[in-house]
Amino acid sequence: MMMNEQKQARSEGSAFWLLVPAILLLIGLFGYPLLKVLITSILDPGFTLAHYLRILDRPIYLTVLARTVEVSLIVTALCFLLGYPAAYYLAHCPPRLRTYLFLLILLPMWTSLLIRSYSWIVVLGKNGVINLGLIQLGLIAEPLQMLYTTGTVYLAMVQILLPIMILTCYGVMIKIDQGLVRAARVLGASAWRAFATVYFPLSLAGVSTGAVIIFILAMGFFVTPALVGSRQDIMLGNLIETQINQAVNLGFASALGLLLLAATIAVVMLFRAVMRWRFSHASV
Amino acid sequence: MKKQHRFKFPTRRAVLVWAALSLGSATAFAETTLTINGYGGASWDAIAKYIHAPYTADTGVKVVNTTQPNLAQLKAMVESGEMIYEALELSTQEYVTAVKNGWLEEIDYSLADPENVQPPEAKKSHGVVFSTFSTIFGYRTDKFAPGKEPKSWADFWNVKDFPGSRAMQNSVTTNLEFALMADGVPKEDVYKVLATDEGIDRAFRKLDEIKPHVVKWWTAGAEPVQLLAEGEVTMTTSWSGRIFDLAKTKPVKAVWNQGIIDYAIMAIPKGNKLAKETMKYLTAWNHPERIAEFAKVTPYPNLVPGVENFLPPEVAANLPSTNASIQLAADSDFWDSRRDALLERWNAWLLE
Amino acid sequence: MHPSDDPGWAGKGWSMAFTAYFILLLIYLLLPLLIVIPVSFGEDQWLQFPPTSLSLRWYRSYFSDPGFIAATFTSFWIACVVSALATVIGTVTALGLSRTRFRGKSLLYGFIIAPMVIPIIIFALALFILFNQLKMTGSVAGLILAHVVLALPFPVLIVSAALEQFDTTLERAGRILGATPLRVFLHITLPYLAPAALASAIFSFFVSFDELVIALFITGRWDTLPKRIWSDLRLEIDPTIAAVAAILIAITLIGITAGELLRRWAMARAAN
Repeated sequence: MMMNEQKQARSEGSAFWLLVPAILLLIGLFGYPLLKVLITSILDPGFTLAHYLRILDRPIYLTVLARTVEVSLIVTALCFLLGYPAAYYLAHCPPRLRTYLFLLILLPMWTSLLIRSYSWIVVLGKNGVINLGLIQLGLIAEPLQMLYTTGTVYLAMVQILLPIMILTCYGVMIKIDQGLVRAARVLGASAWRAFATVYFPLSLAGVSTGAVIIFILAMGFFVTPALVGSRQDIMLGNLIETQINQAVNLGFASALGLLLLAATIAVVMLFRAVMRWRFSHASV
Repeated sequence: MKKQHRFKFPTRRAVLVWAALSLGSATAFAETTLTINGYGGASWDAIAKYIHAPYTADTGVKVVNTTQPNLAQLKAMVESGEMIYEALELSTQEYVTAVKNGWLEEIDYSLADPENVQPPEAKKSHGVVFSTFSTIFGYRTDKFAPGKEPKSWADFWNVKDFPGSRAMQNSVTTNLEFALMADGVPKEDVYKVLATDEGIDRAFRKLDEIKPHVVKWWTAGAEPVQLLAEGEVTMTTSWSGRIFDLAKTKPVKAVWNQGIIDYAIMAIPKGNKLAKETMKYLTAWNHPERIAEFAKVTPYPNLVPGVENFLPPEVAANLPSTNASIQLAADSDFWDSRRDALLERWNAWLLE
Repeated sequence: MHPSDDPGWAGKGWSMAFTAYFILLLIYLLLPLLIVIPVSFGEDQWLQFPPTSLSLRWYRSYFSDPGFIAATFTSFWIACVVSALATVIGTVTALGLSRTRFRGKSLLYGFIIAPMVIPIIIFALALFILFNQLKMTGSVAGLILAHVVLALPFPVLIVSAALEQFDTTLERAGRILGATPLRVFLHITLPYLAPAALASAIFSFFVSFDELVIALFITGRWDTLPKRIWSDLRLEIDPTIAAVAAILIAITLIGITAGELLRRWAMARAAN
């Protein structure tokens, strides 16, 4: 027992070395340069909290932040609802088919954001496929305004981010020992119960990885919402971009960037805490 | 080139091999090479062909294009004194900001325009106007009876007589001016009215009227063209360049009346060691026949007199410069002083 | 994985419903493709669906523009290197994270995924200032390293998730039976991590291949594909981008089909 522990400690010491390349890379190319920029958010030109006071002073910044978090959460939830069954299908379909199905899921990544948003004009526009179809069927007389709404923002963002959820869930599902599920069934659990108590908890690692990645990426989106959304679909990223490119107010842009970073980390931490609590709760 | 790859990592050799292969041509520099930073795309391909190539043939000075100028980048570059290009393209607003912060070299016109070809309005203290463009509006001709077409911003705002959805640029600049003109302010007085807080409130109040009818606040220059082509909107503000092309195959027309004309300026970063050579390079833009070739590809020529003489009449008729008298010139000084606060108000207004 | 692995709670009706759902989802995901391919064969100056007349105009425009082709190769090449580097470093990091326990580990974890969170434009500006000081603006190595930092969260997160499910008793068994750590890693750990590493490699590739903002800030005279496309789009939409997308899609389809056929052929040979 003691020998085992010693051995473990030794292997842990060497395992630290595995972290060195990433740490060096991140300090040199990310931490250090970014620190320099973020310092400008309080030293521009002398020490000042003016940028942070401005954020608190005008309602627009916190309103937009709240909207950004809301949109990101909804997109993450939609990706889970749509992506989980798809990942399950992939993990349990004949392997011959799998390569091709994966390929089909990943292919759209080659198309640029502008083309993607254009395709929504074709589908949802006034003269788009859906409106023309509904008019032909006699269901509506005037074309519906579906484009440039918050709904389109969700549709477009989920389309871009969904493959991530499918892939991360699949990666975990394929490793789940089906023997456990069968054992539960043999012991008399219903199909649904076997899924809910055995399979789903085991697959949660994939869900939570996918959810974290998607949420983080969604928080940084701004091009797509601007292209397909309504005037109210402003993300914090839009405001940061304007501050850098139009106002050249790097101090304020950095302050807004830090706000976005802090909000993202807070939500991710909260999410992880909930997941951990659920895990420990479930095992009791 | 070699000096730039000081980082050691596993594929260093691969990087060097690749860099030698792909950038080999760039390392064989002639005596002087000037790097000019512009927005790229088809118009800068045309600049390389019709403006830069003849200049190199005349003088032996090589001119290389690089893309995406950016004020934040300019600031960092001037502060470090390390130039990655010799001249850059700026909008008039960016230009005013850059001059105020001392990021640009003053232009010596005995070098840049020794024969005094450029008109006075093109010669700014720290840069030369090398391109003009307009923000105007376009509409679908199939939506209105002949003789009842929109002709002004008042018509653009008048959704009763000119029904149909609208699109406008997601930008506070130009839109405040348009709103005041729609509200009956003559174009000569627009900036006088905007100079007061009441004037700005008046513009926003007028914008409130059109807001429910604007289905799209566009951000990319390609969007309004696409919206008109699809018939997604009946009228939209747009940059002047492509509506003319669109009109060849689609029932679309441009309205130049009360448009806003603005410039792109070529400027030289402060501390540029090749500043003299770069100022001489600015003479490359003083030949109307070369500018005309460029204008055939991108209808945004500079202000050199005589460009129209080298162009087919229908092309000449659709240039910002030939329609200058019925348009309003953007006041970049006004925008520089008020932009930050107005940008914030604009974004808040959009959210309301 | 074997078809008999199907846990069997899915009856026939369920499995049909599942297939139907999956097909609908695929249509949703593939929508841009169904539109971009016809558009790329159009004649019009802007995106037009359905195209009014067919032509290869935009393919000609792509192939006759050396700048576009060079940019495509540059992006592809850089994305391959980034994908390899990020996957290796990320896998190593995930292994390190799973085998160590120390105070501030979650802080380090946060630091590693931070490049994904921070607004990319701020990261780009920071890199520009750094590279300008080091006289590295315009260097390929700089862009590659920047993209590796940007892509790193993907392999770390994905491989970490796989490791959470990994049964270390297998490794210990291997060690007890006398295998060297390297052998254990190569024969037990690595095969287990292969699918996760592959997924990481794919994501890292696209992070680099699609990345625009950093490229705009720190590349000099040469273009990457997104940078080139962006330059063209600033003033007008040009269907050349539709042709580029269609070409890339065709290359991927051919490449992966060939790879799959090759794999099957190799397996059939091995079986004989």
